Amino acid sequence: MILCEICTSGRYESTLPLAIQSVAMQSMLPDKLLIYDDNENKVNLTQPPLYYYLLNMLHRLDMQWEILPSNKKGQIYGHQYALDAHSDYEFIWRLDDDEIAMPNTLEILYKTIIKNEKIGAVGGIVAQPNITEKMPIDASNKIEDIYKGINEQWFYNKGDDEIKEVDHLYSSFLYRRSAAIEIGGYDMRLSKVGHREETILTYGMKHAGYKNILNKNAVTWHFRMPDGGIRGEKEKFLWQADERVFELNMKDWEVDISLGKVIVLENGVGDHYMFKMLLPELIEKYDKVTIAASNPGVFWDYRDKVNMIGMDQARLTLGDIEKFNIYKWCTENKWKGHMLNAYRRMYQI
Amino acid sequence: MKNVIISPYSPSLDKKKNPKNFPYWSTIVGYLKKKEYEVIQIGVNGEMEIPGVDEFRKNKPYEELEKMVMECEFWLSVDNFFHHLAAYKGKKGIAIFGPSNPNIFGHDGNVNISKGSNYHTKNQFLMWVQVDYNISAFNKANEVIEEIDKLIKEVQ
Repeated sequence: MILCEICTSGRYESTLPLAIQSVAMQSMLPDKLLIYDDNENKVNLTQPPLYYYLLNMLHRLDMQWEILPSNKKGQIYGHQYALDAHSDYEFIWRLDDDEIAMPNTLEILYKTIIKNEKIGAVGGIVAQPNITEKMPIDASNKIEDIYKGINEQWFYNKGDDEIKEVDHLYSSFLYRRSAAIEIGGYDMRLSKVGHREETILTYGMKHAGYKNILNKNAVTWHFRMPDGGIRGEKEKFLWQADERVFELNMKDWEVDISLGKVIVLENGVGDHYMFKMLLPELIEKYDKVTIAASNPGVFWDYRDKVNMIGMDQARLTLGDIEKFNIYKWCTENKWKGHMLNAYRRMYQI
Repeated sequence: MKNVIISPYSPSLDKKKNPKNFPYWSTIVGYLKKKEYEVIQIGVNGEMEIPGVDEFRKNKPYEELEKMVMECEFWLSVDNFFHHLAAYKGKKGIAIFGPSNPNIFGHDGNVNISKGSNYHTKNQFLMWVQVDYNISAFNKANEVIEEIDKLIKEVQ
């Protein structure tokens, strides 16, 4: 039996109906749809005509449905409820409320997961339709690359039918309930934002001996909305608190998360190139160098020599990154010399 | 034909003209054409093409720009990213400064043209959007051309 669960917040009138419709249009239907309603001001979804028709359509397709109103505790409670209250369902398909699955998605995920009982989870491509760039070579689902912030699942490349084992999965995937139960379910220390909850779950399963599979034949479109979902949670401290929870998990899994010497370049391309001149010295001096750069492409020829992370990640991990502002440093130190030497002094190169 | 790369603009700032943008590029391009160089302008979408250039290559990845700079005869730029990129690659060219100070932002391997400290903004570490455009902070086109002639002799 397969349960599909959608946690929703702030998207009653935007993408939630599309997500539900895409579930109903699957070539292989789940047995039940659980909608965890995490909205502040809840609407009885059996009433608005659009939902009335959608829910009746599910009924006509012999799909059970349940709408569970939450106490605005966040998606993590919805995910955990799906696990706890559905012991008859061996597989759980997670879909976000701004995602539209292609009609064969669940069928592909299911046929992959049943091949081996040690497969804990199977995910596919979860791509924004407007992002047409090719997958960067930095894209990775390896746990040690997580701070790079570029996931392979984000890039749709028509005809790419790669199926491979990965460390962790993002966003939407099908997983084995028994495997999730075995590792204790979701990490309930996370805030209502639930930042990295899917990575903690899937890598946790891998750590327990299960495999996670990325099957690029399964495609889900992500209509990334500016509001609603966890993007509706503006409080920066919640994201940072969740990052600390993630770091604790990484420590438990004995994954090296040390950044070594950290450089943050939130400035212009010229400033990046100025700094790039010093990189050989820096690499010589420090065993591990991590760079967060607003123009990471400048360091295209250093990908195998330094650890690159995204600016958002730098903010999450380091907190206030203003201390890395070279111009502020120069002003505060009444600097009169060359910028190369300012960088040398500031970063103790 | 040998080519020269020009990088004539520093990014516009809140629709305000960047104070580091040299005002006499069309004269410089005209001179380079007279010397029978192919002139390649590099930049990004939204920037104006300098009259007379042979080609305007926009939004090129840094990897490609680094390759291009090694293949050109020499280059000219304002105080933008390009003279840093060229210095990183060790390729000589001319960086034209206005209100910014080449002793802070220039590179020894380049020819740094500047009218001197009287024209440099007092606080070099402000955001450039906070600095007004001042045409008199720049050398005249003929002074830049003198340096071009010297560089041509050097690279030949």
